[in-house]
Amino acid sequence: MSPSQVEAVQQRDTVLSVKNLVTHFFIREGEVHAVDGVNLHVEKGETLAIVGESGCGKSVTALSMLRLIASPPGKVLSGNVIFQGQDLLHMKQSQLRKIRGKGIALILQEPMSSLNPSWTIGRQIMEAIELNQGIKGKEAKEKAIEMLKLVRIPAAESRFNNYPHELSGGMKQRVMIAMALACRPQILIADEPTASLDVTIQAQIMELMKQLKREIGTTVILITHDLGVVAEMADRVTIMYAGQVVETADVFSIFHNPAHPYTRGIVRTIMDLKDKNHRLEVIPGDPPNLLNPPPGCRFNPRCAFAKEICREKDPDYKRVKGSDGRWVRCHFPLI
Amino acid sequence: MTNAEDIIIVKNLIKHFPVRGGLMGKPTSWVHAVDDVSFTIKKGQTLGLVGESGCGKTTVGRLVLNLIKPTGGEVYFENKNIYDKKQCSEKEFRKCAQIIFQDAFSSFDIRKNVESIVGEPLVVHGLAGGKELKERVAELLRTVGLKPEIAREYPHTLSSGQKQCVGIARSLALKPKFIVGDEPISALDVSVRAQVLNLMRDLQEKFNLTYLFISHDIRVVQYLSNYIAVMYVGKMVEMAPTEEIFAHRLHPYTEALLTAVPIEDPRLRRPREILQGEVPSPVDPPPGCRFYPRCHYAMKRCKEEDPQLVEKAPGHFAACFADFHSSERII
Repeated sequence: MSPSQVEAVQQRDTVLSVKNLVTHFFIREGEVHAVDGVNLHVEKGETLAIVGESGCGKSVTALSMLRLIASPPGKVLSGNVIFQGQDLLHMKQSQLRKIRGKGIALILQEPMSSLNPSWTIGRQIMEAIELNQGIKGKEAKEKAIEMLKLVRIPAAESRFNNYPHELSGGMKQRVMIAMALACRPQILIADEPTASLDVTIQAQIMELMKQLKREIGTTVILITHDLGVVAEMADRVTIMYAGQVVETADVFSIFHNPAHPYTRGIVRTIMDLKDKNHRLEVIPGDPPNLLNPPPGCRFNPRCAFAKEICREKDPDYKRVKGSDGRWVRCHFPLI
Repeated sequence: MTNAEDIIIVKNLIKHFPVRGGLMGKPTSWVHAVDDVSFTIKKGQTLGLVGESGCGKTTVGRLVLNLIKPTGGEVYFENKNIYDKKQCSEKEFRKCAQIIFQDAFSSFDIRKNVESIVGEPLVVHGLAGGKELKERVAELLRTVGLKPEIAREYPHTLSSGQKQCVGIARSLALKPKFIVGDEPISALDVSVRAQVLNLMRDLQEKFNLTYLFISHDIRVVQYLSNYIAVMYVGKMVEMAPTEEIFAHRLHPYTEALLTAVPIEDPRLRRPREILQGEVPSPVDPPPGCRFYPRCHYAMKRCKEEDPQLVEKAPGHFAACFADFHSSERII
C-alpha cells in the first residue's frame, strides 16, 4: 500500500487507525504468520466489527494494538497503531499504561479467566476506578456500585461483596463490562463478548451494550465470528481471513453486496440455512496453515473465481473504485 | 401413539442425578435433569432438540442411546424396550444406534491412526478383518467425502472439518439406523459448517437414517429438522413440525428463545422483547411451571401446578396454562 492510500484510509473523525500491522509467532515448527499487514480504522462513535473464523488473526490484531502479545513466542514485527496522534507501538510502557483502560479498554471472551477469583467483584471494579480516576475509598465504592447498576446487576449493593464464582456467566460478563466502562474509555474492544453465553443471555448482553453505547457514546470494536451478532450490532465490518483483512464495508454491503468471494461464501452459508430445500453452498477445503500460507492470494485454493494471477500475486488491499469507503483485497472483486 | 413408522418412542423419561454431600456421601438433593419427557421420531426423519445449556438435552440423547440408565420411563427402538435386555440386547442395539459428538477429536485415541479409529467398531463386533477391514474403512471414508489415503494419518494432523467427518465415518461403520448428533456442528467454523451439514443430509437420504439432532443453534436445527422440540430445565415445553413452530409459538419460552437469536440480516434489525433473568437451577425445582419466574403471562395457577404437554393444535404440543399464541414470523 502506498503512503497516499494509507492517508486515504484515515477520515476526519478517525479515532484509531492500524497501519500495516504484522505480528508473527516464532514456535518450534517455524514462523506463524498470524497477522500479516492489517489495515483498519475506527470512526468516532461507531461499532466496527472485526469478523473471521478461529485462527484468522482477529484477536491477535486486538492484542497487538495494546501490546499485549506474549513475547516470546509472539512479536509485533512492524506497523503503526495511531491513537490520539500517538503511535501505541512505539511509546514507553508507562505512557501506554495510561492509555490502557482509560483510552482503550478490553473485555475478553472468558470472563472467569479475566476476573481474580480471590477478590470480590466490587473490589476489582474499585481497583479499576482508583487506578484510573484518582478517587479512593468510599467515593470509589459508590462509583463501583453505580457501575454495577449501570450494567443492570440486580441488588448491586449486596452483589458488590460477591466473589466471581458466585455469579453466573452472564453476570460475570456484565461485571467485565462494568469494569471496562468504569474508566470511561474512548474505545471499548470486546473480543467475543457473548460467545460463551446462551442465546437469551447473549440477547441481554447485546441489548445492554447497545443501550450503554447510546448513553455513554463509546466507540466499540467488536471482535466476533457470529454473523448474527454482526448484523445486529455493527455499523461497519472488517472481514479477516488467514491473517489479512480481505474486505471492509458498511454492514449492509457486507450482507447484501459483498465484494470478496470469501465474504460472499460465509454470508451465503448462513443465509441459505433459512431455505430447507436449498443445498448449502460450500467453501471447499479448510483455512490455510499460517506456518506456511499459500503463495498469491491466501484464499485462492478455496476460491471459485481464482485465476492464474491469484495463484501468483498477493492482491493489494485497495479502495473499491467509486465506492464510499469500501476496501477489498482481491484481483477480481465481485462488485 | 404407536405407529409402524415410529422408530423411536420415548415415554415419560425421567433422569435425576444425586447431589452428594455430608458424612456418608448420601444424596442431599437431586438434579432433575430430565423430567417426564415423551416424544416419537419417525423413520428417516429428524427431531431437533433445542434449549439452553443445562436444560437436559444432552442427557436425553444419552438416555435414548442407553448410555445411562433412566430414573423412570421407557424408550422403544423398533418397538423393543431398550432398557429390557430380554427384548433388546445391548450389543445389537449398539449396531443400530450411534452418536456423533461435538468434539470428535476428544473421542479419538490419539495414538491410533484414522484406519483403526474408523475400523474399531467393525473389529469389536467381529464384522470385518484384514483386507476386508481396509476396504470397508476406505469405503466409509469415501462416503463422508474424504480421500481413502487419509486412513494412514493420525488425528492431530487433520483439520477440524476432517476430524468431524472421521467421527461421522466411525458412527456409520456399523450401518446404524438411528444417530444422535450432540452439537455436531457447533465447534466448526462457518466456512466448514456447510460441508458437514450437507454431508449429514446426504447420508440421511442415502441410508434412510433417523436423527435426533441436539443443538443450541436454532438456525442449524431449522435447516436440518422435520420437528423441533424445545426443552427448559428438564421439561419439554413445546414440540411441533419445524415450519409450524417458526410460524406459530404456543409457549412463551419458545417465543423468547427463537426471538433471542440474532437475525443475520442488518435490514431486519428490530426492537425485541428481551427475556429477563436467568435459567433457574434444576436442583430440587419448586412445584409449578419452571418458566413461571421469568414469564410475562404467568398466572397464580402456574406457580402451584405443573402444566402438562398437550396437543393444542394438530401435531403441535405445548405445556402452558396461558392461552399464549404468537404468529409473528421468525425468519
